[in-house]
Amino acid sequence: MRHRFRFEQHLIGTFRISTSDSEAVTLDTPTAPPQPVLDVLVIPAQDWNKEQRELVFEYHRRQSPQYRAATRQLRFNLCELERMQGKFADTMGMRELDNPRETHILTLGKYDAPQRDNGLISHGVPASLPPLPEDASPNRLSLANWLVTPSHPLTARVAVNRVWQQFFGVGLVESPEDFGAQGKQPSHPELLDWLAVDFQKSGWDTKRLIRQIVTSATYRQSALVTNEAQESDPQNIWLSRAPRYRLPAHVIRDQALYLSGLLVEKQGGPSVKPYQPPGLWADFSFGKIKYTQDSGESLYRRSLYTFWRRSLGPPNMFDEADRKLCSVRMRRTNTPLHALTLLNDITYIEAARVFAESLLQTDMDDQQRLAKAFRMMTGRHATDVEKEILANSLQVAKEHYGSNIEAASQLLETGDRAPAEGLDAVEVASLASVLNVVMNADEVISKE
Amino acid sequence: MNPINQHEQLVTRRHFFSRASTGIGTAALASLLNERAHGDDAAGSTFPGTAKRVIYLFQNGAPTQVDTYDHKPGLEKLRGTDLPESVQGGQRLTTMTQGKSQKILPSAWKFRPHGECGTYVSDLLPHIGSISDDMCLIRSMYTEAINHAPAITLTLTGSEFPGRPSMGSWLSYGLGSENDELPTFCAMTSRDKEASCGQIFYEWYWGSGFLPTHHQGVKFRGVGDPVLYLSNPSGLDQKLRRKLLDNLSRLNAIKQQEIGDPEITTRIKQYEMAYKMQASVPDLADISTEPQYILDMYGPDVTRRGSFAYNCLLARRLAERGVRFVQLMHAGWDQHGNVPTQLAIQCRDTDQPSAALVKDLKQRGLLDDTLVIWGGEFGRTVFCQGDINNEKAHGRDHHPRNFCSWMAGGGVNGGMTYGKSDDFSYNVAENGVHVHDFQATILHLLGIDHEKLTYRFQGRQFRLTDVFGEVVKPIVS
Repeated sequence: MRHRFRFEQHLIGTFRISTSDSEAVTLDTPTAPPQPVLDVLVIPAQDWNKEQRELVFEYHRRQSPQYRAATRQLRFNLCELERMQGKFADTMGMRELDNPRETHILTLGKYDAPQRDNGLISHGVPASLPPLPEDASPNRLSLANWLVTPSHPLTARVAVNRVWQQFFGVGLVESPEDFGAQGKQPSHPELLDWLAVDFQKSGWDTKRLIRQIVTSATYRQSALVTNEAQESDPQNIWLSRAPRYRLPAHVIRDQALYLSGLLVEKQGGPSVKPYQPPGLWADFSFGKIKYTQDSGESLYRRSLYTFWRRSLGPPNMFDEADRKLCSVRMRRTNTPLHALTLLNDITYIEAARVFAESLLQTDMDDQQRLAKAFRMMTGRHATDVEKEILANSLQVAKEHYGSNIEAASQLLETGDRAPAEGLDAVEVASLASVLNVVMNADEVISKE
Repeated sequence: MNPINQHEQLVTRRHFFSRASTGIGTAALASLLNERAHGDDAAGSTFPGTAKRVIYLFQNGAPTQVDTYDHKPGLEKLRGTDLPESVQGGQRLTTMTQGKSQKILPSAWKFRPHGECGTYVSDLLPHIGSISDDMCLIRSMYTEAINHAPAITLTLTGSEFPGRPSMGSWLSYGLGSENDELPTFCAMTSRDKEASCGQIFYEWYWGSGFLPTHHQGVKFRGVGDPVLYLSNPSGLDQKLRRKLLDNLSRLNAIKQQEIGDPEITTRIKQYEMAYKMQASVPDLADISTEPQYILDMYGPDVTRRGSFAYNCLLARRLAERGVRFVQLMHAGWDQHGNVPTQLAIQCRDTDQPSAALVKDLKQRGLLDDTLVIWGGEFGRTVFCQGDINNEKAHGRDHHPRNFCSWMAGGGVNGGMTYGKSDDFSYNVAENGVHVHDFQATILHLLGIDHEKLTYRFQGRQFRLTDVFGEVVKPIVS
């Protein structure tokens, strides 16, 4: 007999021989159940209560290698499940009830006073529009199919109009949310219908629609407003010129990040929390909700990913829909507060500074740098007069920072991105302060 | 054509009014005067208003009318008895008091008559009492909503659902601005120091809804920059900025000349205005130039930025500068279980500054055309919330069926009370003033017919008063 216990200095307390008919006997095989099970085993089986039965049965099951393997797998899968659930966001789905509930009219939305006298109401489509197919059950799926049925052009008209609006600033129907009797008449009804039918026939091919719009002669006109046009068509309803309008705030931000090279073009993922003046959330919520700004690349994602709290949206996203009522119209106002945002928000200061740094890291001279920056911002070469204005700005800034080196370093500290090494603070601050202002030029923040 | 003339010509009146935030009037004024702009609506002309601007001292959380303005000496002998069912009338209550006992709890504070008019006001509000000859106290306000956010939204936007334009935006839209260096509509918020109630200040309380966004209220903040993004970044000096902005204007002017888009001219002006605001806003917020006796009028809190008193003083300074609508919101009136302890503090914090504002406007001759409004979103129950035998924890629940608000100045009859509640301060007994009536009256005082000031959205003409509201003529002088 050999003592193979790994703690060889231990003494044997009780020596006992057990026998088994198991084929794979090892030293690991538990020779006796643990005490709690033994305590139950001395009781006759018919007297066991539920817990005692479960205790014995569980002990018995655990003797089986298959069972142990299966539970290991189960534990592993549960962990995986938990991990996956954390990874993917939940999304709402809809399912029709097997037995639709009774629905009555709720006058003025009074949910506790249904108008039972008027009988039941049921699913359906407006009577003025083509009916649902006779064999369709009145549910969401039928509605979805009906919406895109070729027998009526409403959906296609609405969709086409929205895309048109995106490029021209105003839709062919000026009220994109209202195609009813109270909405605006289309300015070009035949064009709207032609585009709508073509859109349907193409299999709702949005890319094709966009290509049609942007390659059209109308879209590719000059944006020049002649005196005559200003008089006869001040709002460009008759499309005598190309659209020209201020970009939405989220696009202006994306553009500034792009110009500076800060933009992180990663797609997808949860929302991010970029710069926001301190205390805004705490202020409106009495300190209950605090804004924790992200760092690193989350600061430079496209505005699309910016976290949006409905009670207080991102403060630099002016003129955006306020997320209260459904809003599909573009809002464009022109106020001093927008100017202050684009001049002073840390987002734009940092972008100008990093833009300046990237230009200073090339071996161009000042004139070339300004020319390149202008070209990047406007998509065209600067004229001589414009070059002179830019050069003058830079000279003024250099004179200022040349005698205010401390101010120059301060400006460089703006934003999380560390200042580029090996550059002269006065040079960077001077160019940054100029770019910051030029990035506010009407042509830069307008689509033309 | 001379390019300068051309440049000037391109800023058409219509263009400037439709986009810019300031001007002599706005698109709305045009639509009020011009029948064609509405098509189906026989828009009448406006009439001269008695008020030019409004300061709304909004009391968030619903002040208890029982302990402040609605004098019911007869309740004392009913203390601790059940509110009669005939009075309660099967009303749905909040879940906080539904199905619980409703023992009458008279005010613990004395009321006394004030001024020549002899209006009874509780001893909690002695300063407000002292302006009773200038104020019209409405004791028959009522509303539909029973919870704070919907009720505040209803009072300020005309609908319980967020998304409609707020009163100040309607006025900005309807009347335009009197000042080109400050926003037309400013909002400020404050709360009780004890932070006893947690009603959130939602942005839509001063939002422009579906009106163009330049009509939305600009929040004047109690911390940081008074207006967001007002300050230049550190390291960027204003003198340098000025020179760079001059060059920006040159660039924009070149573009304007080349392309002829009048929007560019507006933008040049807005950047000028932004620069001016960088000086005018700090100047506005700097109260160090106020003499001590003025500061004393507003009470000890006035020097604490972000306090109700400070905001009241700022409201006067905004009114002086022609800001159309100032919306102060002060939270902390939600005494569910702390009437005996917190209400007095709440009143002390707001009483003196509210009255001081009215007096201060008056001594400057501004009260004649400045309408000051004081009120919350609903009232509180006459019955006790909580155990009536636990005197420290007496509370009052939400109560939309009857409450009090007051107005002063701007052409409102001073020294009067309007409307009455029943003997229990529970139901309107006489001359009820619904929130929509209140709104109609405010617009009327500013020379606007509330049925004519409309904006088309999603297929219909919207207005502040929805499809309701009647001007309360007897309180208008």
